Amino acid sequence: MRIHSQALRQIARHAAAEYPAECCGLLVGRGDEVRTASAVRNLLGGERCDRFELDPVGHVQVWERAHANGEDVIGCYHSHPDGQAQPSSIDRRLARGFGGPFGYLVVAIDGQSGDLEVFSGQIQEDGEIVPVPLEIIEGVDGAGGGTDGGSLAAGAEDSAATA
Amino acid sequence: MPVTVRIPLPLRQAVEGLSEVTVDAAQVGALLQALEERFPALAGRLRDGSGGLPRFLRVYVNGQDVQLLRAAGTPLADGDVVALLPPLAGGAT
Repeated sequence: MRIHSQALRQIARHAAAEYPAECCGLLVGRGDEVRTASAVRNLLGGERCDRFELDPVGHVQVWERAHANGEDVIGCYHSHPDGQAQPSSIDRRLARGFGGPFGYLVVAIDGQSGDLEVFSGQIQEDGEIVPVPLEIIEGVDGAGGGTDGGSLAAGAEDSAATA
Repeated sequence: MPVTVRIPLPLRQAVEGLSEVTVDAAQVGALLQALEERFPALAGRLRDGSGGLPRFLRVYVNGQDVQLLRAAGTPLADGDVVALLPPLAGGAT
């Protein structure tokens, strides 16, 4: 998966803003290139801090916008506040229900330090989530860089509107 | 009556890579059946054993969840846009 550094910062900012609840959203782009991250409301965000359910109404809205721009929804992301940068057992179980291919990012955020760690994966056709290398495409501001996930600063500059 | 069906990425391989398909159908249930007949690789993914909507599929017509309308019996009209969505959920624990 390749992701624009700006999109990754959008995700980082979203995860920090929603902490201690989980955030969720969609990855928009073409092929395996994520150009933007679109925040979507977590239907469970007000109930508990260890679950997400992406609002399907927001999903439709993001999809229609992407379609109008000649892009596609190519994956999703969510955060694990004070958790692991790995898909959990429930992540894996629910991914099996529909299958892929579909990009899958998990961002672990440390509430004390603000540090983030990213898991980059793909839901395969059989529903299994497998890790994939993450290539960060430098933005015009020159931020970002690195492969295979890793850490990134939580102080993202780019806001992401919640659909 | 022709309606446009948006196909999510995970289902594209089953529909020859198409991102959208035009289908003639008067109801959501008939539309899903027509899709399965046209694209056999979709069989079992769009309807449950009794012809209803499966657990791991959400169907939206013009941005409205058909489960809040008449589910598989939701009527369709010319020019409607139907979106098939994977429900996305999970959590840290």
